[in-house]
Amino acid sequence: MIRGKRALDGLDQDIRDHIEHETQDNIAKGMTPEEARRQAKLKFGNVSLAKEDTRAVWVWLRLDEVRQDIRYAFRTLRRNLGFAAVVVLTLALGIGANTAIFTLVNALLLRQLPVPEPRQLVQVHSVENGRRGDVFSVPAVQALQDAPAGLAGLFGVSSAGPLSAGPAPAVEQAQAVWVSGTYFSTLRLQPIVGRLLVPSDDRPNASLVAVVSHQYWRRRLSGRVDAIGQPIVVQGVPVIVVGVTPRGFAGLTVGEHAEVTLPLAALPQVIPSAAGQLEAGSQWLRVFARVPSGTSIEQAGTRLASLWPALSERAVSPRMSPQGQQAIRSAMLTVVPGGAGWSRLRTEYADPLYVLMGGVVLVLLIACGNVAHLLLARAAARRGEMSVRLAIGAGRMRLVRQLFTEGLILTIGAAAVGLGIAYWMSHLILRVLSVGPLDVVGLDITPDGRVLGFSLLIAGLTGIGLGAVVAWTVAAMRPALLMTGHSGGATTRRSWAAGWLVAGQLALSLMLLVGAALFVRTLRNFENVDTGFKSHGVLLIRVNPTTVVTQRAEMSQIFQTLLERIRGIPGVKAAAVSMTTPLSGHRWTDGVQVAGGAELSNEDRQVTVNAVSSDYFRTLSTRLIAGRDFTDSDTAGAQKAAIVSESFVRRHLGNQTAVGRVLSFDPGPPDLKDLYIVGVVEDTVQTNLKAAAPPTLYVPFFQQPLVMGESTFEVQTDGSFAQVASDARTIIRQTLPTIHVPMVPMADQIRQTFLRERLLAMFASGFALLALGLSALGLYALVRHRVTQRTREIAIRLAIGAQRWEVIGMVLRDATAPIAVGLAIGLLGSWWMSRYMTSLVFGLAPTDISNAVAMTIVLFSAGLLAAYLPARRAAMMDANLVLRGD
Amino acid sequence: MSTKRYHDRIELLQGTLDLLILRTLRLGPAHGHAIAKAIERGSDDVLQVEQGSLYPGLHRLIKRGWITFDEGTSENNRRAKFYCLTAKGRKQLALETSRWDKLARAMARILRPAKQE
Repeated sequence: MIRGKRALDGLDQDIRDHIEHETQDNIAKGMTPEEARRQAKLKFGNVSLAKEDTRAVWVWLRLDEVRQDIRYAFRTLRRNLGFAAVVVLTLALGIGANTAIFTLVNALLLRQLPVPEPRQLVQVHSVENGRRGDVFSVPAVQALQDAPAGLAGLFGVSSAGPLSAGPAPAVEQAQAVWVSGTYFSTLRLQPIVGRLLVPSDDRPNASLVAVVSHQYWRRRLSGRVDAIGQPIVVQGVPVIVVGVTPRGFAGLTVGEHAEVTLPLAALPQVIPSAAGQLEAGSQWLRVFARVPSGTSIEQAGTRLASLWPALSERAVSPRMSPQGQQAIRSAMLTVVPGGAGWSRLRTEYADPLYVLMGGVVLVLLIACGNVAHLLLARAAARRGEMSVRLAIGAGRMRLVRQLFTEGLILTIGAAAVGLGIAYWMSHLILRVLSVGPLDVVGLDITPDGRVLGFSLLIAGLTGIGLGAVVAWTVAAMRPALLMTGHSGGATTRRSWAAGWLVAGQLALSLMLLVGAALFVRTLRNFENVDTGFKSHGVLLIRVNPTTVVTQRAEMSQIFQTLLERIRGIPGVKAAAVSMTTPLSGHRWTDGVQVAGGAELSNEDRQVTVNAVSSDYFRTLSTRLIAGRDFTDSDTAGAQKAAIVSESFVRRHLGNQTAVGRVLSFDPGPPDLKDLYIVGVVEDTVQTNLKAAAPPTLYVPFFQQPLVMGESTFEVQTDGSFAQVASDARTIIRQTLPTIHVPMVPMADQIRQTFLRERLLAMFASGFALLALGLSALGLYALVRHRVTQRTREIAIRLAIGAQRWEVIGMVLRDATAPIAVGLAIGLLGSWWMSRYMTSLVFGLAPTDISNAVAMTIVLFSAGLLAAYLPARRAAMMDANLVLRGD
Repeated sequence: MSTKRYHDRIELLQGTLDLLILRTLRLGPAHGHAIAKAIERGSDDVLQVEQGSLYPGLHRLIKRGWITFDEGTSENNRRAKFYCLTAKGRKQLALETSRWDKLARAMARILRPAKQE
């Protein structure tokens, strides 16, 4: 290339000189100067064309060479299909795994909402008493909406909750969100049919309207345009569908799909029992706003924060406790970027995803190590061919470029296969997550520009990295030495590089192993938590009759009948019904005061409450410590009873006996005052396996009418879930034919709470095993190569009487260097890494020594085995044969 | 003339032109114009090459490493590029010349087998 520039330098001058020369010659022949010049020019021909063609020579030949390179590369690769396949597959695994995790990172953390200019959106958070929260009450949202904060819109939105909805009579469960009137205008969405909600729909006496999502419209309303303006039945109440949101918009919560969007003002009519949620005491809406261009996010936040004290008056109500009111008044508002929506998944899975991303990068590096080794080995094997080419004058650069092209083709192939692997893997992860309580189906993992760009980037980096390694070794080759069979300096360099490569691989593998061990043990700890109940064999059946039955007395009767019938199913050892179940995600807390018990603050007075029927504790195998369980005679009219948990007694009564004491809900309705404690049970976990069991209070299910609503049957079976489930379904259908009855084994419900730990353990283990295998392979190849180098030496030693085990020992000793270095670096790396893992482990410290020690032993053993195999082969060789054939 | 035919002509002459340049330079270094003249004279004016196509040819040979160049002074005291053969070029010349001979003999045999009849 530099030659070309030098040659092209002065081309114009050269041609001018040429023509001048010809002109002079012509004058000498006798022509006139003008004629001479004309003839000279004619003879020369088209000057600019000549210049073009000359310049094209340098470009053309380069392109031509590249084409040659590619053709040659394909030919050589085809001759070594096995080698090519191994390299492509190994790289594809690494690239694919990386792309898969990145797809999830993109979908969950990076992708912006499908609205115009999502980067202008912000979410409002509040810091109360040092605690950060992101939910506000309806009056707070209204106050914020009216505030002169210079925003281009602000709204409140709930997370999706299940409601019965559909065109009558085909009513099913649908996901619904509640929004304030400015929702769609702030988002600047346009409907594809009909219209979207406007502020006038969010008024107390407005007619009931709703907007549906594109998917819901197609699936349940057949995508018919005349469905707009027609009502659907939501929780038994007719609501007119006024419009459809654009395709691809699924609400503000990533991972959830908002099928039906309703204005907040409609809440009291659709769910009368939830009318209280429109008051100041109920904080359940997330607040988003659009910042106009020209204003920065910080400015908007400061403005809002400064306006809040004046607005906060509207957000407090006299019915709240003084502390509660104060907390709200003194809250500090901040805004954070909200263009990517909000996601429960995100907060839970952000850290694990980053960890997995780190892990998968390590796997790729290890895979690259193996591939580099393979490429180096092949380059060495081809040194005969290369030396000839160097000798007849092929530029060293040309040779390097040739090898580079081969590497590039392999990398591109790997990237293509990698995309396929990524697709499969990301769907697998999603399927694992889908058994969780969070609706992951809404997570969009179609690869977009960012994912493809990422894939190309790592493929490119991989290719360049590998190419550089190979080029570096080839650069050391000296043609003359090569021809005489000597490796020409490349082997020492290569061996040194390979040794370090293997050490690096082992180090990374150790880190992955330690990480995986941490996660697996965390998972085991979760599974072994003493929950206070036994979920084995217990089936949970959720029944929600509120859509068809409105009278509490009727509901009570229905549950009574169903419970009796279910208890009669063959295979059922015990059955009960309750308002909620442990770890279901639903929770009722309230303040309770025991007469004569400890005087507690508002916060300490809070207990978890559940309404349970007789046999509840027996069904879940929760121990009764004192007193008695509820019986069938604890009904309305009988003495008001209550059962408390151990920690309740400890907190409210200290060492005193609990049975016989009186307690009341404070504040609470008269029905929940003056309850007699009739029994004490052991603690059970309620919402969180990590937290200690909270003080819990149980009231009889059939005694307290307030609790009637969605309830769950707990059924202890002898193991035959399928039969019992279908029998139960038949029984329920007889009484409530139209409702949807979800059933889940209790063990699954428990397992869903540590889903992300399962995910981490699964994938980290997979990566660690993969890494271990690849590193062992790398070490095996290295030792084998070294043995081959020293074949003569070993043969001589054997011939002069060395024992076979002495030879093995010698080879192994040689291999300990990379193993030891690798383990040392790996341990350092693991220690550094463990500092970031505190939030992801449970029941053990991330710097737990036993983990590191155990995994070091595992890796060392694997390494030793990998080195032993070629060592043994070396020791088994027939020394005389080798020496004779030399 | 049409571009395609022009390029056809170029294709046909590329290899032969390169060979002629190499041959000319065997006797010593020369600058562009001198090479053109030598080719004309050497073939008794049978081969009339468009002198412009000399330059792409020269550069092809430079690229292949068969000739190289130096700055020098021509006979009328002008600065010019002087081209000369490299060792590789010499080898290539020998190779190509023998190939041409073989080709010419084969063509002659086919075109004039009558001698045998």
